[in-house]
Amino acid sequence: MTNAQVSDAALSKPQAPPRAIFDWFSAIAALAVIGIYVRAIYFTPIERLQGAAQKIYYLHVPAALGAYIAVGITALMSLVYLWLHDERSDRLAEAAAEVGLVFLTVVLTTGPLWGHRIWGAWWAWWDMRLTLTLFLWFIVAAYLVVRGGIEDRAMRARYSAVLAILAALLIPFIHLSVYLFQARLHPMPVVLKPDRPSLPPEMLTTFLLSFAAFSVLCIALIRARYRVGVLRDMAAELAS
Amino acid sequence: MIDTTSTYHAAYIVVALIFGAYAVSLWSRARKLRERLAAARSEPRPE
Repeated sequence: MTNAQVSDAALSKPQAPPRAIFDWFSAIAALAVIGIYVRAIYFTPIERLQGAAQKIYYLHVPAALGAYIAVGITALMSLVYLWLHDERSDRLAEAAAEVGLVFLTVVLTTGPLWGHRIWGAWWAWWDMRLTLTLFLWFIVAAYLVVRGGIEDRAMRARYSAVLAILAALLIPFIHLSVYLFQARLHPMPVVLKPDRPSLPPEMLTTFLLSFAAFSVLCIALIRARYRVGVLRDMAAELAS
Repeated sequence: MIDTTSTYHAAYIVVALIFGAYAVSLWSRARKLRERLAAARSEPRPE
């Protein structure tokens, strides 16, 4: 089939008109995050030892959990792609990876800001949670670079799927690093631990609401990025 | 209690900027792709 014939086929093929990338779900996500800002700033008590800087917790930790969700979706959809070779799962994996990189960037900027004030250090390479999170950022960035560098669609999806699965393997090590390594700056978990959360009720409520809001934001951004991917593939198909 | 308000303000602003910038980048990419699609669809089809 010639290029002209391919273009003709693409033009004649009925395609759903591209929807707005942001929809009602995105609006709910935005409102939820604004609500968390208001609750954390005005309606959550200030911690006695750290002062107001402790409120970074309500963004930093939910962003980290959002990054885990996004990278987890990337790995899961990559497995689905390797199994079924469905391009939609590859596109969803790509969307989740990009959103995961944004969430990891939030984690890696709020963390040093908080650490500089409370620990007296922007960074400590011997804190494995910090260093492994940076490694995860690099792997997810590499995933997106690899995708940008491979022309062949099937090869791109296959190679990047393997990278995504390897990236997701880091997540349990990041979470468990505070148990595995004695030398660390990060404290032991106060919520995600075997026994009861050790946060006061008002703080715990803000944290749980923030986790919910960031999870909704994560899904909303993945949906929006997926739609950008659909538009890009439609444009590429028409141009080929 | 130590005053760490400026640090927490900085963090909250940085987070809003990162998510805001990403949302704008998604919107901008979608707009450009829609323009490309519209241009491709309006071109005369090959005989």
